[in-house]
Amino acid sequence: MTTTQTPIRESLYTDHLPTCDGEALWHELLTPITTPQRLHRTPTVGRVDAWLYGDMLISEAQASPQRTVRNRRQLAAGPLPAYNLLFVLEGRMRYEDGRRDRTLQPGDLLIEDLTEKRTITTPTYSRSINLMVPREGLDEGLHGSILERHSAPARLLSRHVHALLESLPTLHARHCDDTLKTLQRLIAACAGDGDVQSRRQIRRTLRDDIERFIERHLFDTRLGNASLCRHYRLSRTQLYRLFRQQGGIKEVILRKRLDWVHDQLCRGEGGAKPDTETLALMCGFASGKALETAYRGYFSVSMEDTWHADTASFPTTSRQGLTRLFSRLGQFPHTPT
Amino acid sequence: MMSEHTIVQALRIADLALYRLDAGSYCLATPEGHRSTLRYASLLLTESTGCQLSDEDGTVPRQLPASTACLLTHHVSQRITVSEPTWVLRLPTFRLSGCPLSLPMIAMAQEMQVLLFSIPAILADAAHLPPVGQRHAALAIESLLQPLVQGHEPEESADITSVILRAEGETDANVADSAKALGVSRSRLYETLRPYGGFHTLLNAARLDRVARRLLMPEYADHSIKEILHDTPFTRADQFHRLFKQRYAETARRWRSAPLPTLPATIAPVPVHL
Repeated sequence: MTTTQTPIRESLYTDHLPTCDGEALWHELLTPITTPQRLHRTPTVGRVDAWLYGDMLISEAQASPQRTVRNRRQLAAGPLPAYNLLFVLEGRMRYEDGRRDRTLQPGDLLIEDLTEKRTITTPTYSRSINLMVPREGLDEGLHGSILERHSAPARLLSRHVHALLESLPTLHARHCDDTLKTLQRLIAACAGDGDVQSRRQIRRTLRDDIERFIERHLFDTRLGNASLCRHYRLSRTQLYRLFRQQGGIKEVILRKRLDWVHDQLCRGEGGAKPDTETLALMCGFASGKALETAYRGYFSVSMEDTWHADTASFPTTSRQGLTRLFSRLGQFPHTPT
Repeated sequence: MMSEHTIVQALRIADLALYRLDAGSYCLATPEGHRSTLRYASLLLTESTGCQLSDEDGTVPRQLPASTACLLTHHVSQRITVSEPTWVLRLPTFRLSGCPLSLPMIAMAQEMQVLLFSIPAILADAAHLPPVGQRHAALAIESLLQPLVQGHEPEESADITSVILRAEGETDANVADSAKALGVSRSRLYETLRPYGGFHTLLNAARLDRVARRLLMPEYADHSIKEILHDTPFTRADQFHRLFKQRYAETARRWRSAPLPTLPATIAPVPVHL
């Protein structure tokens, strides 16, 4: 469930500023998602008009010729768990991600996962619409999907996004959940892969459902294989098969509990470090020492080190990430209109 | 004299049907001659001149504004008069609400016009997608219509709706408990619900709608009907199949593969004699 909010607009133009300033500002703006690089001698500048609506960030961007890279080093700083739908309006783009090397033309639509590596080269001036939506609720394997111009799926999504952009100034806060659901369903409709997709989706839906159940019952000491099999009317084999790739259901429960502990340490309120014994008891560990050992095994750092680390460097949720990305626009000097 | 107008069934995606009506009068009919309790809603997309809405006998006319998307749900036949070609999207009311009681209504949301008027184009493109994609698209349209439904529920039925929805998931739901929850007597509750077919008809309709909706969801495409019934209060499969056929005029299996019932009166707006 998202926190509803009315659409907010921010703009940033860096192409009217002196080259150095404009370029620095452009780089700073894009830092959370990509790193711009110069092509030839043209400065890397651009314009962004963005709307934040609930969990969606929609922007129209114009950019000078440049290459934008998202590599391992950048992702290590904390990737944004969201998908970006990139609609090419003007200019040509070359998209590379190690597996694909494709040219995008006006009308094409690219779906990219902001947690994955990629390089986009735009040798000419370009204009595009970027729509960022949280990854939750969408299929996992959409990174690098390209919907070709004039195809029904590309037309469908593009029409809807244009209609959405036109409606944004008038939309109410209470509509944002339904608007996001509509968009997620349309993405699933257009980027899906028929029956295979359907089967994958069913498994994923069930897995997500079980994971949500685990999160709700994280502090229940009876949480385990037996209670999950009973609740979901699954056999043990079916349950193990569902979570085989994650190392088994027990591993998933353990990780979720450790993630919660990690969260408590990163966002500790009131300045005092949470008591290890209390955390251990809440999460079903035999003792504080057992928790310490499991924590170190999973995160490769001790709980003490996590407590003293810079919390800002840890990955955020998609909502926090998109909001933070949007608020950066407002932090920069105002754009002349 | 029969009017000269025509109805073109342009598109059909899952259980949604989109029609293009020429200028003229039409009857949005409720099913006749069979026992189905399923009802349909219509989204009217009139572009510049609006349309007139009246009861079947022509009384109580109401003018719907121009360039407005109006969602119209009805339990009785209604007549619409349009003076220019108009798109009409027909969909079962369970797409809009978990409880059949929350109707009838006429709803408009001015701020959603652009999005709602893009529905015919969305459906036109969705018609080229594989069946799973089409079902996702139908669910997307359903989400798009939700803001129209929210907040337009008749006040007098809101409490009963919430009680029905709460009772819907319980195997041992009964009228006494529901009446107690509402703070009214059993006979009063029976009396209130009589126009809708009674307490148990409504309760079963809400339960069946939940199953019917799941049968159309891509997430449940690999589940057998028996599996879908697992977490519903239907304890006997034969009882479920009998009730399902009564409400949807189709077996659950056929509904899953071709969700619109074949009865023309339930789908098509019928031209009226002038």
